[in-house]
Amino acid sequence: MALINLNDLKPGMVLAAPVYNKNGGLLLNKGVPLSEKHLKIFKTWGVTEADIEGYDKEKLEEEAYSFLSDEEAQEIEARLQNRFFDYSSSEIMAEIFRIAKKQKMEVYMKKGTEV
Amino acid sequence: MSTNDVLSSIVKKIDTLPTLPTTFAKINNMIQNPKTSANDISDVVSKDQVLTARLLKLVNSSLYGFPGRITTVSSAVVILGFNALKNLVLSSSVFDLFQVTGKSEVIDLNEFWKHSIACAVASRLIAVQIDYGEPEELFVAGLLHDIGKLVEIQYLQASFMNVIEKTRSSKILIGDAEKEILGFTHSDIGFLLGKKWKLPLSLNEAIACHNDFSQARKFPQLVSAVHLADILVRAKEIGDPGDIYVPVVDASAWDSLGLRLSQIETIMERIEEGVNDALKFFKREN
Repeated sequence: MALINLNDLKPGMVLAAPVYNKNGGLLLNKGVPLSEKHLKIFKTWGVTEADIEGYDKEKLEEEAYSFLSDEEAQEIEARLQNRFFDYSSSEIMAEIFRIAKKQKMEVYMKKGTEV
Repeated sequence: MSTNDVLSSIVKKIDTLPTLPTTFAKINNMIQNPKTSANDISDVVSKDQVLTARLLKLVNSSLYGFPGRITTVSSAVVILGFNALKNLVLSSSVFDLFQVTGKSEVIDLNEFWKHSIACAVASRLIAVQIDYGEPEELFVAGLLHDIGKLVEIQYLQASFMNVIEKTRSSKILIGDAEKEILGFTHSDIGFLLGKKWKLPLSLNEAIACHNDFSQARKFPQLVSAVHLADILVRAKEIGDPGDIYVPVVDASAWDSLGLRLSQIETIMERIEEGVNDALKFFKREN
């Protein structure tokens, strides 16, 4: 199980822990497979993450970037690494780096499909 | 000349910098007087056409839930409240201030400006995530945090060019290059300008300490939010703050915000949209 950001949640994933709203109200219990509707509800309630059975962030990332060639992905990553003073030693910086990379790749992929 | 002499000579030059419109000072003073009524404030606001237009635009936006129905300045003032009004006047003034600064050989002012707007937007997004009482205060703090660089661009062109060069050749942040070349930073200058403009202390602390959280005394959350906003905007490469680097988030600044890691993505993915909205909002229709 792993904490997955809202954006990376997909229908069919199974909750490893209950999801609550900001005020502590239960939105969905553990063991429930997610549906599109659940994801919408999470977003409305400002939920930013959920604990998911059998998934981890690296696995999700590999799936997300499968559209890009290794060279393209590496180039984006290297350019970003060059600008970050530190992208791995604290979990805060690692997360900022991960999201920045993800968003860059998404922009890149969009551009690619438009051409 | 010692560092202090240079600084004080700059402060003198600041006299010739575009000043904040007197509307801000007036409203700021009036708000501090408990006897001030909404009508008193409305009289002052009404004399400024651009501000009036923006005020009505804001209260008629979906944010307040009276779309298109508020037509008088006095009802707008009542709906918005004095503090939110003060923040609107300030961001409105700063926005216009940036528009008139003209050209610079050293840095693309539009890109520099975009960095400030993005920091304003990101600071406000952080405010929402941490349930900060006055999100608009954080918007203004983000907008103003690099105001000292604007002074450098105008009055220290040659040195500022060296500073920019230095950030590239030595791979250091603009603040560190400033310390080496000038002996002071844009935060120092911004702080002096803020004092001259009689900005609220909270905003001036954000200007002075956004790169050095350990100096923040009275408003740690506000300063932390701007500190983090700056780093997120740099990570996303929106606009040009003068150097291309992404510094490390101060651990105690992070702790003072009480954010969860997953909220970083929520904030980062909403910045572009907020920047576009802000640009539309402040655009002068003339």
